[in-house]
Amino acid sequence: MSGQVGFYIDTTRCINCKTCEIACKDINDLAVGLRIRRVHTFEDGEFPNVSVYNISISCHHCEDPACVRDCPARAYTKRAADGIVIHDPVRCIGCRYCSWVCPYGAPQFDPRTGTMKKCNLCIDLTDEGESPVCVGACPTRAIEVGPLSEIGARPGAVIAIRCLPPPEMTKPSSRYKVRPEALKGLIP
Amino acid sequence: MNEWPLIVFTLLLEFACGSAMAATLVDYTVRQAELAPMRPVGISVFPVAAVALMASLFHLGRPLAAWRALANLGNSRLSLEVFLCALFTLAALVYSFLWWTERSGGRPAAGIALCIIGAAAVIVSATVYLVPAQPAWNSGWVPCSLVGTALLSGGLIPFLLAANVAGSPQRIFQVAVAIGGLVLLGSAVWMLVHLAQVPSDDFIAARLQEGLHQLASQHGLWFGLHIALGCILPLVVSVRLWLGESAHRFGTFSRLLIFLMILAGVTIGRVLMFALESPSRDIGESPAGIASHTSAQQ
Repeated sequence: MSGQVGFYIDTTRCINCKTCEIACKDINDLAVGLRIRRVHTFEDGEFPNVSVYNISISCHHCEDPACVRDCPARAYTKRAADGIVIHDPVRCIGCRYCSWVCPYGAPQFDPRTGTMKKCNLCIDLTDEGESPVCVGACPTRAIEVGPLSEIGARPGAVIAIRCLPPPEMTKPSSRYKVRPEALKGLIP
Repeated sequence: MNEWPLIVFTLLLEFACGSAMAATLVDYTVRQAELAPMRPVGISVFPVAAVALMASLFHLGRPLAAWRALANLGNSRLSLEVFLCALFTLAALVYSFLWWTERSGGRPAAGIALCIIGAAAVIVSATVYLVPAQPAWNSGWVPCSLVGTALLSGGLIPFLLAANVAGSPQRIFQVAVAIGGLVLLGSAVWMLVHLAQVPSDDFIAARLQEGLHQLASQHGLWFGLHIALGCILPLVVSVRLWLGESAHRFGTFSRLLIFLMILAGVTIGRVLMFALESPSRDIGESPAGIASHTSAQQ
């Protein structure tokens, strides 16, 4: 893979089973309460015009990652080859400033280690040509990983979604397929 | 809320900066023989700054690796804040030592340098909170709050010491207290206006509404106490002193009580600031009605 990579998530397929969350927690040995990948159910609108949609979120490996720029200990790096944002727990001092500046709450504090935890796109697997565990675990195949140039060009691929932070903050590399009522700027 | 180390750190940093300004001003304007009442203030700058720096360590998951916080001075405002606070503490060590040994040679110059470093530390400390991802903080009311606290604490020192430094610039201190109170009042009003706005983005609008909702429903009484004790009381004190009432007339106990009440008001304001945003929370945790989620912790 070359160039920026990112997640493509088809929310119209997501059934909120949270298998991706569990697979992620398992491979990263996360403590209770930590969810590097999590599925949120957003309820929107007022009766009778209501809508519900599930959004699976993890680190977006942003093009302009606030965590890389603002970490005082330089614990975050963005790989030049594929744009994956990697966290180095050895350099991390556990100041949690990354969780302040990340609008998506991607870095999370692990009290057991005193450092942050974050999705690293399962680089041990992806460097071997395999998929991240959340991709492999999803029973509806709602999650994929691919070059941003490819996933961004898919019909209906968006990142400006209601209830999520404005994408211009950090330019996230993920793309979502959502129902029209979940698009930012549209009132359901 | 688990941000108490940061609350203590920011308040004590501003208090040390204000104390340094008060001591330096008196050092410049009062004769050597009449400086004795300000000596405890000059000596206390270093311990207060050191306790502030130590308090900030309790915020870290790995306090023993705190030195790594200086690794990103070029880009990270937090790195710059840590650097300036460490520099301020070192400069305060020299300054307090000069007061301790009662060496007046070079002390005013050291005080000026200390004040410049302290002011820079407070301002950079304020910019650390100006992050777009935390909409309730991302406004000018936060720097106003921090700078106002430094001004207020510096101006209150002579009042606490009964203002018995003969010939000391009482008017300047009274003005500093008044400006500090006014800046804090302005900061509180600015915060309300900021939270009440409705930006076009639904995420930012929800976070601001949530902050306003919290302030109105859960922290209304505390906000009122902050206004009364941290903003109005300093104004009343400065006006009474300006109109000619001697600080001696308040009595030692009353002066200490007023000082502690103002300190409590300022502290409540800082606690409220941290209560408005919960930076470590998850993205969907918003009770504002626009966004909600049903995911349980696993």
